[in-house]
Amino acid sequence: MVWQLIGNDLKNDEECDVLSTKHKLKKSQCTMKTLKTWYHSKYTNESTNKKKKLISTKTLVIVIPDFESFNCHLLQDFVMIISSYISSLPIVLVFGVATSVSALHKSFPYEVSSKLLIKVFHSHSSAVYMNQVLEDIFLTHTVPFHLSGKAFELLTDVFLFYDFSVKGLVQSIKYCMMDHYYGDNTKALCCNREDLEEAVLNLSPNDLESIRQLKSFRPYLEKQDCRTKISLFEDDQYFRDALYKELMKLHDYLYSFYLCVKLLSTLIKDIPNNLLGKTVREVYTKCATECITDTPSFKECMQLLSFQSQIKIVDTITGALKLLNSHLQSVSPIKPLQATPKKNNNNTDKVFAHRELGESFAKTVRVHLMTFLRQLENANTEASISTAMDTDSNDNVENVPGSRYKLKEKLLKATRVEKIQSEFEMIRCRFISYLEEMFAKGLQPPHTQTFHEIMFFSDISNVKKHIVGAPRGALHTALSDPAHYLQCSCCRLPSPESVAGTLPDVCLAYKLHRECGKHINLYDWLQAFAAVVKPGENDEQRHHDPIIQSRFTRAVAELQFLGFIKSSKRKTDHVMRLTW
Amino acid sequence: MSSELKGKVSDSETETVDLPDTPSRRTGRTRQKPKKYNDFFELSPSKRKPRRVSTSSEEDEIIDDSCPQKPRALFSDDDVEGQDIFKFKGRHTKHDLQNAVRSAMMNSPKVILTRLKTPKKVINLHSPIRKAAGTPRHVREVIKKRIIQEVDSDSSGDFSGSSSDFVPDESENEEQSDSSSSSSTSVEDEKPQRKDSVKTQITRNRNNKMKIKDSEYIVKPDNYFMMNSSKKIATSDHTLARLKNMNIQDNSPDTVHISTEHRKKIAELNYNHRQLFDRWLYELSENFSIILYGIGSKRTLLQQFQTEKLNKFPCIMVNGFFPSLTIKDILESIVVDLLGNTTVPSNIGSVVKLIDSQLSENSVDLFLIVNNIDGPMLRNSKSQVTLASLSQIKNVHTIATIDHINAPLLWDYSKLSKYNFSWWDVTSFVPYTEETSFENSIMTHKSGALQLSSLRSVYQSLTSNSKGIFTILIEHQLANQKQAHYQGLPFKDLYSKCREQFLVSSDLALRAQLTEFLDHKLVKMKRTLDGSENLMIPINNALLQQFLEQQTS
Repeated sequence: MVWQLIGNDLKNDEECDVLSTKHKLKKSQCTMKTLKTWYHSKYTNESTNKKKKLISTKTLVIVIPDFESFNCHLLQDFVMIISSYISSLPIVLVFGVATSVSALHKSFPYEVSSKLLIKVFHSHSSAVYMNQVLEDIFLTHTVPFHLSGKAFELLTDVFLFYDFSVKGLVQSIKYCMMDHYYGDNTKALCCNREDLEEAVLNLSPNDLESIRQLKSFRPYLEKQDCRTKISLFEDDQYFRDALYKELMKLHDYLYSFYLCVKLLSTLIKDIPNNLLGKTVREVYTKCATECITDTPSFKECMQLLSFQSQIKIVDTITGALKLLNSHLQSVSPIKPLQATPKKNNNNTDKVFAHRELGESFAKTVRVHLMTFLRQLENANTEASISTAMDTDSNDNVENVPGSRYKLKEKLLKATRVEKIQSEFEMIRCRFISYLEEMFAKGLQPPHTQTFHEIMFFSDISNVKKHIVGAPRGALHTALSDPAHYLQCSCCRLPSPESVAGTLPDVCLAYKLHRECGKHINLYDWLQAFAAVVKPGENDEQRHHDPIIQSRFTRAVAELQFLGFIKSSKRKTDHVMRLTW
Repeated sequence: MSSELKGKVSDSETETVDLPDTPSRRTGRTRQKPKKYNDFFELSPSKRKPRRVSTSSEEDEIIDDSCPQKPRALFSDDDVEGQDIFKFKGRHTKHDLQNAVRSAMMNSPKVILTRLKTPKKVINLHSPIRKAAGTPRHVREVIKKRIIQEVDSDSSGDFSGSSSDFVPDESENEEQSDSSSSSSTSVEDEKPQRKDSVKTQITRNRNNKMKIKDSEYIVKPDNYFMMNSSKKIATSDHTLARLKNMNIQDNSPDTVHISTEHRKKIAELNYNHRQLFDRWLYELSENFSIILYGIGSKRTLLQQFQTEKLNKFPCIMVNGFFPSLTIKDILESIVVDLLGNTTVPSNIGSVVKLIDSQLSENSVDLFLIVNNIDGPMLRNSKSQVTLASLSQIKNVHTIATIDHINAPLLWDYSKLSKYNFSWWDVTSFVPYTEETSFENSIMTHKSGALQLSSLRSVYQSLTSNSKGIFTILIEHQLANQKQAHYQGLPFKDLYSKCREQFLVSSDLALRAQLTEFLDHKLVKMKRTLDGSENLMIPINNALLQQFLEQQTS
């Protein structure tokens, strides 16, 4: 048995490696001997003179993923057998261990593990991978599809609190994307910048109409004057142009938004208490859900930033600059593409002229940061000089004989003056206020933007049902409040606990069974059921009513099928409840 | 003095030196403990923790961060409250059921006329019993007082003996004493019972208090033990035998009762679900599996889906509720019937591989429709693993339904990631006719309708002579049903009786007739110690009586 499985394992192995040999081996023939002969025929015959080299380079790699699920005796035998062939076959085993290395030691006794030369490679925890995936792929402006703050929060919560599976996260993002694009032509606009123009031209009048009905279109409309309003509604071509302009603006906005998010996260990375979160995704959720510059935690962050020492602040700024530069570099290949619409459309010139976001934004930010950096670095010496001078003057004052009161006053003044004077602090103060200003511009939450619905996916309540699923909850609501699903007038109940004869039989039986303890007497249950269903009749009639009995039987059978009860042998005609 | 001080200092020194080795400050005590204990403590990670924390502050930070974090987007207001579903209820009594019924009847408008009757019903149920109450009232009063005193001293203020709680308590006790059906209920007999019931009252009080205090749902393990503390089943002793007509038929479709309005609404629901077909198809094509949940049979819905959307594709429809289904059947039907192979590999893994390779070679999309993927035969992990790896194949699209409340427990993360489910709530309230027809229903099983009908059908196929033999057996068994240890009818006696009625002529002929009964398991043969063979029918006497009545009438 063990041999067979190993043989099978080997066979698979061989099939992977040796599709060229093309003769299939029978199971009984799968032994180490055949493997050995195959190996030698394959690799030693080719070049006998280079024999040594080949053996050292071409090793047989056997990958055993999910180590814990294997039968450990089988693996032990496998290792022992292999170890006896190790002189002729260079074999490397790769174990995928989910728990820890100790699992390996536990399942292998000494004589087996001594045959292995174990080297341990650790992989990161899955949260690290998730952050990587999210930061490098989804939280960039290059992807046209974006998740709104809420949706993003949902997905990361599912990841962090349910499964820790990056694959699951990617699948659920995929699901969100499917939901976003499904059955809506206007979502064709959710594409890369270069494809945008074509997409706008391809829209049918109906699609345009549905775009006009978007919620975020209204505030934009209110800003326009009367004539443009009319032409926006009447003239499809004009609307297309406006749409295109707005979407370009949206792209620019996205660009600066993500930039600001990343800047912010690098700036506040070292701040204690991490009020806004440590990772980029946490900052992103905060920024995407609300206007972050108005929140107290943001203000506190800025305050904390303004307490930082010189060296630290220089460090953070250099870090931010590095990020900016890499950002600008990554965009530069797109730059020529951006220029293309200029030729086609005269209007776009204007768009670029008065746009204050986007790439130019990034550039101004860079310039500002660089000047600040220089100033701060210089401030280092200047501040010390100024304080030195101050102390000098203080010394002078002290030398002059005077009343004690005066001296005290002077000293007080000096301390006050010193605080204000220190140039470093002044620059730091300016720097912080600049940051606040910049973030206020760049970190407007996405839902304030015109046509954000096209690029941002926000319909989480719909998707959540399908990603997470709540079968137990659905069963419970259906059984305790059938009107929720049926929308019928007869089953409206005053309270969730109450019962009525008009309820479907299963619901009625369910509700009655909830009133019972761990064991339920079938006869009493039936009587209660009958009393509710046919309240007019007296006991005797109920006893004889075969219809009610069969209805009850059916309801009980269905409850049993659903797993609420099971039969019990402890007392005659009793069933056991399986829920609390 | 200095020496004293020194001694003290040295003492404290030794203590501090000891500290890292021994977990507790009292060195004397730990020394007494066996060596193994200390070893264990040193090895155990919990003791090492403080050291580790001091060395790696980063890890510590991470732990600190993750602990207080709470999911925010996962829960919303429209979720079903966990407390509603999973709460431990307080101790149930049979009065809960009656109260529920009563309140329901109060609510329904039809009952206004009969409202007077309803309490009567309760009394009717118990009135013959109440007369038989054993203990005189004054004795009970005395005991009650004593118990209250005891309880009060025990639970010091926690228990507030409200009089309203004690009123039902009394009647309950009566019934309990009745149910024990011992006419000689002495004081000693009743005492423990009474204590028990009072205790339950206390627990109920506590529960009520808790309910008021915390609106948030927190599992209290104590409640579980309170519920399961007493082994006694506190339900009445009524059995279904009290029903006058026991002819509960096995499930037949005409017993389904749905009001007309509900029928209409169910049709509407079904229509709504059918609007989702396109969406499902789209998701299936994107390699998601679809899982349908919610009460009501989803079989017809899936059939509609199959006929409407998938009629051009190869489909495998699996009925998971079928009691003799195996995972092998499913694989075989795919490999043999669909792919046209003649042999199925013995190893399940290789079958899946074969299916994968053949489907991708021919670029055929297979749709696997599983009714009740949580069916009793698919519940083992082997078949779930197989199904998961099947639905992982790119060309296999799975659509499945679940009904059991604990069905999601079937899948761990590896399986879930293979299945890649998208969840759909398709509550339909369509009765589970097909699904429950295989289920060994409690009611029908208990009432023995199945046995009765099978008995009848076998009986009808018999010759008149063997019918006679069987009736002799039945009559004898019924005549002796009062006997506590009924051994059965000895073969010799049966032979003589049959000879009297000219049913058989020889010993051998009787044996030949009996083999038929034995084959159908209508009769059991037992050999006694003295070597004679006893024959008895392994069926409930009441059923036999019923059967006999039916045959004679």
